[in-house]
Amino acid sequence: MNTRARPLRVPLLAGVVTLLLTTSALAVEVRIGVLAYRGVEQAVESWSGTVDYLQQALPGYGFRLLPLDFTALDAALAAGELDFVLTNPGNYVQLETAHGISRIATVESSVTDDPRYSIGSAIVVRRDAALQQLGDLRGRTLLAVDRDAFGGYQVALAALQAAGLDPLREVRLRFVGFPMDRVAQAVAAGEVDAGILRACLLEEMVAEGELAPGRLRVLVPQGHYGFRCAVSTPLYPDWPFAKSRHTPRELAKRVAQALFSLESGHAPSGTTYTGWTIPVDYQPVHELFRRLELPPYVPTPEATLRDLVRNYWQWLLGLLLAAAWMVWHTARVEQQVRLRTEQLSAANERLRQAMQEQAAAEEIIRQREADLAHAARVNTVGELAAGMAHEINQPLAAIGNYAEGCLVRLRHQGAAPELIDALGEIDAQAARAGAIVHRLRSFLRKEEPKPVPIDLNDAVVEAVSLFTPEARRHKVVVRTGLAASLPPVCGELIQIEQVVLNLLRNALEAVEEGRCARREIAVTTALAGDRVRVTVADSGPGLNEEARRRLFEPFFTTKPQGMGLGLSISRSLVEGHGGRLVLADAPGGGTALEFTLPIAGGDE
Amino acid sequence: MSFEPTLFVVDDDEAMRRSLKWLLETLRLPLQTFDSAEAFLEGYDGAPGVLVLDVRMSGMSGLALQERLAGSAPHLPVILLTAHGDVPMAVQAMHAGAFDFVQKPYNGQALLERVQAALREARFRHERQGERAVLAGRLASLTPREREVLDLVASGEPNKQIAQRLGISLRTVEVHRHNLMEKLNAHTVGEVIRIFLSATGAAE
Repeated sequence: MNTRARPLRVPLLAGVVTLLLTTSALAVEVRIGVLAYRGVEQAVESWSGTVDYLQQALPGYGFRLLPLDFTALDAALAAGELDFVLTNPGNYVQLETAHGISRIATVESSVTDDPRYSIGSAIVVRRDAALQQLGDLRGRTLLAVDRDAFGGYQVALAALQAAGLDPLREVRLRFVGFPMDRVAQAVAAGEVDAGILRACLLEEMVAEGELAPGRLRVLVPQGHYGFRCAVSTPLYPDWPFAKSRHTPRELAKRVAQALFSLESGHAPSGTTYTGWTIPVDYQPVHELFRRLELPPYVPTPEATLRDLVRNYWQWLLGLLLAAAWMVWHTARVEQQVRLRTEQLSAANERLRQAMQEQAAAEEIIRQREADLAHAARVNTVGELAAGMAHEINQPLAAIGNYAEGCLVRLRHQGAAPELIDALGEIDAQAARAGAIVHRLRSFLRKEEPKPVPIDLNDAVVEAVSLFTPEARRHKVVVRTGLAASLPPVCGELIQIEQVVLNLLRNALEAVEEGRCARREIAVTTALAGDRVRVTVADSGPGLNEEARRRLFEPFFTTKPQGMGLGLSISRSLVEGHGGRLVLADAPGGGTALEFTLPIAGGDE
Repeated sequence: MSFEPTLFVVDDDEAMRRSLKWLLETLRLPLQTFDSAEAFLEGYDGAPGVLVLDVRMSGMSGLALQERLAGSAPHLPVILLTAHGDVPMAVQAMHAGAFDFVQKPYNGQALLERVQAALREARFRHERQGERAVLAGRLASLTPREREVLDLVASGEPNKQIAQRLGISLRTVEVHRHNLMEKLNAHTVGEVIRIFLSATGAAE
C-alpha cells in the first residue's frame, strides 16, 4: 500500500532502473517507455520480467525500461527518445494519432480469454445503497481515480453517457488520485455515493484482503463471455506493446517475435498478465474516445474558439488591426482615387478649355494674318494702280495742257475751225484716258477705310506680336517704348497695323543688311502736339543720300528682290489717314522712320 | 504800288512743267518754272502772283512747301495739283491755307479758270496789303502825343476824358485831334477809326 501511495519520481529512479537492466554497455540501447499510472515501482514490478525476457531473447540489444507518466511519455515520444511504448489502450490511441506509434503485440491476461475484451469499468456502490441503475447516479457523488484513467474513468464515463446521462453536468464527479484502491475505500467508507474501478480491482482487493467481501457491489453487472470479473461497461482491448515511428522494422519484428514466444513463467507473480499475442484492433477505443470527445477527438467548436482567443490573442489582435488597417487603407485609397479622379477630370476640363482658348486665339491670329495679307495684297494692287495712275496721268495731263494751250492760241489767231475741233478732240481723248485710269484705280481700291477711333498703342502691340516670331527667327530684338496713354486717332486699325508691320519689316531688312553686332529694332509711341507719333528705328547701317531722297518713291528699292512698294504703300496709307510718314533723325545711327496721325475729334 | 503778277509753276516732272508753261503762257503773264520746292524757295523774291504746285514731288512735297509759304508769303495764292483720290491731302492743304486744288487729270480750260480766279485773289491781297502800307505810313507820321490821343479816340473816349487821362487841357486835346485828322486825311471820327483799325490789322 505504501509503495502505491508514493508519487511519481521518474528521473530519480530512471538511473537505478537502467543499471538493473543493462547487461552490456556496448549493446545498442533500446528504450521502452511504460505508462507508470500507479507509480514507478509498480510499473517496474509489472514489466521488468518482460524486459528481462527480451534482454535474454535479444542479447545484442541493451533494453531499458523507462517508467513515465502521461505527460512525460508524450514528451519523450515527441523528442524521439523511445523505441517502444507500453501503455493503456486509451493512451495508445492518443499517442498513435499524435506520434504515429503502432502496436506490435497486445497483452494476454488471465482475466479474459479474448484480449480484445480485457478492460472495462466497475461502478461500485455500497451493498446497501439504493442505487440500481446507472441513471440513478444523477445528482449523486461519483468518485474516480484520474481523468486520464482508462478503465478507471473513461470507459465508465462512456457507459454513463450511453445510459442517457450527461455525467459531466448531472453527476457530481470527484477525483481522488492514484492508487485506485482509495476509490473503493472511499465508497466503502460512505464518503461518496459511488466509485469507478477498473475491472477486476474489486476482486483483487477482496482477494488480497484489503476489502471485506460483499462490502461493495457492482452496479448493473454485465456478464461477458470468457471474462472473469464483474463490470458495468463494455470491454475493450488490453494494453498494447507499440513501436515508435522511427524504430527499425527488423528490431520491431524481432521484439514482436520474442514477445509472442514469451512463456507465462516470465510474467510477474500477482498480476493477471500472462503473455503477448498478436496485436488486436483498437478501433473500439477510437470509437470510445470519439464519443467522449476526448483527444484526439476534441470537438472544435466552443473550446477551440476560446482556446484560439486565449492562445493567439496577439495574432488575432494583429489580424484585427491588419483588417482594420486594410479597411481604413482601402477607404483611404478609394478616397484618394476619387479625389485624384476629380482633380484629373478638373485638370482635363481646364486643359480642354485652355486648348479651346488657344485654338480660338490661334484662329484670331490666323484671321488677323489673313486680313493683313489680304489688305497687303489689296494695298499692293492699289498702290500699283496708284503708281501707274500717277505715271500715266502725268503725260495725259501734259497732253491736255498742250492741247488747251494750242486751242487758246488758235482761237486768238482765228485759225481754221477744223484745227480747233481736232485740238478739242485731243484734249477730250486725253481726259477720257485719264478717266479710265481713274476708274481702274477706284475699282482696285474700292475698300475704303472705315475709320473708327483707335489706340495707336494697340496697333503697335498687335503688329509687334505678329512680327515677333519673324524677328526671333532672325535673332533681332524688338523693344517697345509706348506712351502711357494716347488719345485715340481716327482710322482703320488693320491699315495702321500694316504700316507698323511694313516699317518693322523694313527695319528688319536693314538690320539683316548691316550684319551688325547689335540687332535691335525700337518701336516708340508718343504724343506730339495734336498728333500721335510712332517711330520705328533700327540698328542697321543707315541710308545713303540717294536712298534718303527717293525712299518713298514707288518702285524705288535697295533690295534685289523688293518691289519698292512697301514704304510707298505705307505713306499712302498714312496720308489716307491724314497723317505723315517721314524719315526721322536716327541719333544712334541706323534708320528711323516715323509717322504721325491727327488725334481723333481734333480740328478736322 | 502797281500789281504785276507773275505765274510760278513748281513740278519735278519736266514734261508737265513744259506743258503747264505752254498752257499758262496763254494768260500772257510773266511765268517762272521750278523743278523742286527747294528750288522755288531759293529763287522766289516775294513778288505777287499765283503758285501752281504739284503735290507729289521727290524731296520736299508740295504740301510741305505750301504750309511753309502760308507763313512766309501769305499774299501768294497756291493752287495744288493733286492726284485723283488724294482728297484727304487736298482737304489738309485747304486747311493750311491753299487757295484751291485741281485733281489730275484735269480739263485745261478748268485749270485756266482756276488760275484766273487765283489771280483775282492775288490782286485783292496785293491791294489790301498796299492800302495797309499807306495807312501805316500815315499812322507813323503822328507824334507820340497825337498817337496817344488817337488810341483813346479809337477806344471811344470823349475829349474831356482824354484830357483827364493824359493830364492836359481840353483845348490841347482838340488841337491834337485836329492835327492827327489832317495827317490821316480823315474827315470824320468814323473815318479815323476805320483807318486806325485797317492800319493796325485789327479789322481782319
